[in-house]
Amino acid sequence: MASGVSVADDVKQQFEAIKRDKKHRYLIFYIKDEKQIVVEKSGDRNAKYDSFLQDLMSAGPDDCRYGVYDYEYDHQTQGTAATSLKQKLILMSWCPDTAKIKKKMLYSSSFDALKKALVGIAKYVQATDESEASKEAVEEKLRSTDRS
Amino acid sequence: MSSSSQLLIGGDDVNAVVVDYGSASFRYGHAGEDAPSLVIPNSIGYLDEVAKAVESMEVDDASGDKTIRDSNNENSLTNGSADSSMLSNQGKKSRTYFIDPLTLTNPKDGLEIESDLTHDGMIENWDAFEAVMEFALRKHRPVDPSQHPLLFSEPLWNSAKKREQLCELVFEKFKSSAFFTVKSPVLTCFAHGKSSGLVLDSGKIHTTAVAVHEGFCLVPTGAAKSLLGGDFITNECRKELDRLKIDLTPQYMIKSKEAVELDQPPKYTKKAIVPKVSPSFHNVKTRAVVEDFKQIVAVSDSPLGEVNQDNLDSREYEFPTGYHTLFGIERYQIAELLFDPSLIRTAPSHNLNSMLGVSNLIHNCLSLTDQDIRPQLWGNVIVSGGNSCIHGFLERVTADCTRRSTSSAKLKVVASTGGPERASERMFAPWTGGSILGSLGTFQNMWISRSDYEETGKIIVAKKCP
Repeated sequence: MASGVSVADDVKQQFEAIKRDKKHRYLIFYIKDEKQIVVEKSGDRNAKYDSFLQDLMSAGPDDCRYGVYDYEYDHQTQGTAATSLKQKLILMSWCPDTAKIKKKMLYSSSFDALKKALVGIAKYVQATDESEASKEAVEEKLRSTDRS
Repeated sequence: MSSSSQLLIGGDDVNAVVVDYGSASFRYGHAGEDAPSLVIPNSIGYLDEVAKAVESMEVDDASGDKTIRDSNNENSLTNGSADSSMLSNQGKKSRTYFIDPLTLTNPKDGLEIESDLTHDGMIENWDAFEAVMEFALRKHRPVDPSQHPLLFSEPLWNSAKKREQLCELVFEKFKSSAFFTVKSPVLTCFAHGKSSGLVLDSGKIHTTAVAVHEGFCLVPTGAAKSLLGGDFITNECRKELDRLKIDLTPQYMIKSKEAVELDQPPKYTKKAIVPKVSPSFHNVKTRAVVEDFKQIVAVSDSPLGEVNQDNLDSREYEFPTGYHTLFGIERYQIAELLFDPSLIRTAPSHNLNSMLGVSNLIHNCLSLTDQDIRPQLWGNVIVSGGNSCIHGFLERVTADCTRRSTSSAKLKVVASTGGPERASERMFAPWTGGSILGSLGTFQNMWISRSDYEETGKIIVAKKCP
């Protein structure tokens, strides 16, 4: 059962701006008035992963957020010395264990609506603590589907 | 949808009422609150009109105890003929229910206790259920049901017929403005702030493991069920206590008792005048003694066969008679059966296929689901149900799962923990989920409204409620 929360058009437009035009590095979304998912912040193209996490968690330990990040990493193909740069989009739901239950439930039951609205995401990450949201955990997840 | 917009008049807060009925109790309260305001155990008292009539006649005669007993016996034996001669065509319809749990603490002449409000988690005795609803809506905290939508939990395997019957009851009898019903495992997930997870519910009559994905139960592929639940443990405790020849005289029969030394026979006096109680009342009260004993039952954190038995601590327990003794390994042996059914000594009437250990249940449930979602389920194992409050249950589930884990996926067992007060949240998890769901602004256009019902009839429940 879905929560019935809708996704604002602006969310899709801003997402396209990352995907096609590489305008931002990341986007942070939140659910406004328990009704609609809207854009809260966007990150500059030069922004690092750390500032993404900072913005994602800026609402404090009792609130949740969603985030999209355009992740870049070097990939080494087996048998060659050459590395290639890979770009993949991740969509993360940030629901810390310390958040209010109602918030967690609202965000987790609306995640599906957001997944459907944003086409072209490589990996979905459901993070409940900092280790699950960390750069290492996300990169491991992304690399797990790369051919070595 | 004009109907649902009507509902929303006056803001998002429609003040829904949440009803969660399980095999152990009935939970009721207003959406948005932290805990149910009313919890009624699934054994409710009733007096039949026929019995009442006899009672009043005896009072007129002013005769002694013996004659009352005799005539009551006679009455129960010749129930049918008494019916027709004294109160023609009344039969069982003139039954009076005593819903308030407090009325059950004291014995009363002719008071019977009905314990089969639900069967297999589904509503079985509709008259009694209606009486309970009636009590909750009109006496407990009087509300006008036409102003409050009613949100119900239901077991995963609830039949289409029962859902329709409930829908009909809500609209026709209680004149509610709107109705909705959600599978309990989904509500349990919501209560933990999740929309996906593997819900392990160890309740009174059974233990189930159900996979929930994005707010839907994976039916029928994602469910595993075992008959090892709270009642099973109670029966095993009873067997053990009977074997030890312990006097289980319930509190209501005891007038006074003296303090005795450990393991010494109890010294107590029975009440001289005990109202003539029905066998069902006595059974429920005796069972309550065993239920209370269950608080010292515990699960060891690894299989009992591998534990150094000297490390198991003993606990003292005092029975209502005043007799108290120490229980050591017995405490653990009983609950061990939940995890290792092969140890069950006397083969019960149920076949062993329906008796799965807890960790087997989780694995069966996982193996029924799609490969892709398994890591996610594995990371969200949600433990709920009253039986899971047995000391050490959670730790053992975690230990067993970790031991049997073959995948690299991270195991995470989630449950309300932190002291005995918080443990009750585990019993009411579906209610809490309903409370959250019912207070969500966006949920309000999901309700089956009265006009929806009037338009389509009771079959609408199959269309609107997943």
